[in-house]
Amino acid sequence: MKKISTAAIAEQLSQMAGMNKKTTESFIRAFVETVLTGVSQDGVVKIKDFGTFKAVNVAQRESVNVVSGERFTIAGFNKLSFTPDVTLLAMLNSVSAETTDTAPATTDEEPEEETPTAEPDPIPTPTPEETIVPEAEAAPVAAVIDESVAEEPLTEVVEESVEVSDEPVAEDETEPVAVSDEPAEITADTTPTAMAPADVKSGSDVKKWTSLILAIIVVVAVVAFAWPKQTDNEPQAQLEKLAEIAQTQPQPQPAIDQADEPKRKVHILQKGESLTTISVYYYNTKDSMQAIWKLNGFKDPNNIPLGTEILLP
Amino acid sequence: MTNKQFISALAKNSGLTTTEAAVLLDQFSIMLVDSIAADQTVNLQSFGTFSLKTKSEKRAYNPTTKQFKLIPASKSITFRQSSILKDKLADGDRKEDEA
Repeated sequence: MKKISTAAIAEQLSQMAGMNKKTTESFIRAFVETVLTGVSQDGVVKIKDFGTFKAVNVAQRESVNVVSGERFTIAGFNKLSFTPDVTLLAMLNSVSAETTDTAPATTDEEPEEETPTAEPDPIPTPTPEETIVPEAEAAPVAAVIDESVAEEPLTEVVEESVEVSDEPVAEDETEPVAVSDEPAEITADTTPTAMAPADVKSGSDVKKWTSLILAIIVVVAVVAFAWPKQTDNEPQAQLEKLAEIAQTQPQPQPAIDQADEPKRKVHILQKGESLTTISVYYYNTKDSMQAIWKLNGFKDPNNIPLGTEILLP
Repeated sequence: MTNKQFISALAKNSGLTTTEAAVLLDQFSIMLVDSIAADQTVNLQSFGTFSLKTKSEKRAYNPTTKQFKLIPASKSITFRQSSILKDKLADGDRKEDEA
């Protein structure tokens, strides 16, 4: 802990206020003098946005000499106490929050790496693979229904992605390719063998493909959410087409669902553990204790039976 | 002593105008906060030291709602008077007693 002397304070003040160092030195002396005279006069000195100085009398008390066992009295004395103002404390806490902002950010990222299925919410810029996670969460709805109906999102993608590729840039040549390859691309998300042809292409092609894949993923997500409404309005002819496509392509979607299903880590409470120690153990910070508490919905975090399964956020 | 009285007395003692004294007092509090936030102690000679006190997170119980609430960790400023000031205050008391 570094100590700042009166001279250093005067110099720093003179730089901050743009005043002479002599003036600031005399100001500090005057500050001390004024507080002392104020305390001796009224007993209290209140300074706005700074704090309160108060004279407190500590009464004499008896004590025992540990070595000889003799009783003796400690004389009473006067003490100058200081209570910082709320504004000063708010300033201090805001300043320290700014300086420590970077530290919790790094600790938050660590648990995400540990867990097999990271939640996409806290990540500001998700990668294409990560954006699949919300889809997979929405996809089980489609997986439950008949195979022919479950295929609908795929054909919807074909139709809608044509519109999407029309909008951004004038890539007339790539459009038909995009339409023909899209079913393959969707499977490429799940099967590594299908990804191979895309990887072989040159750098500029790769960029196009990645942007296309992104567009497809976005469209699939939109369709997955909007699908139940659209099924009512679709004509029979489209359904037949879907059935045909369903026959030609094996269904990879259930595989995605099993792989990407969110698995929460569970901790079984042992003797001597608390939510805080669990938070520190898994996330290296006490701050996650509240999140664990809320997630599990315990009434009293200090009174949890041993062996309780605690879900980790 | 109120804030107004303090600033006027401070201006009188330091030979500054009241506005200058008020500005310097503001700057002083900012400087104090900055250096204490950086875990430094501010030592005013023959007066005392201002230092940082960290308060850890604690749990509070509201008896009316019967709910526990987490009070987050915070930082505070403590003041410890110097031994010179302690003697000064004791001397002042003695003089008062004699009078």
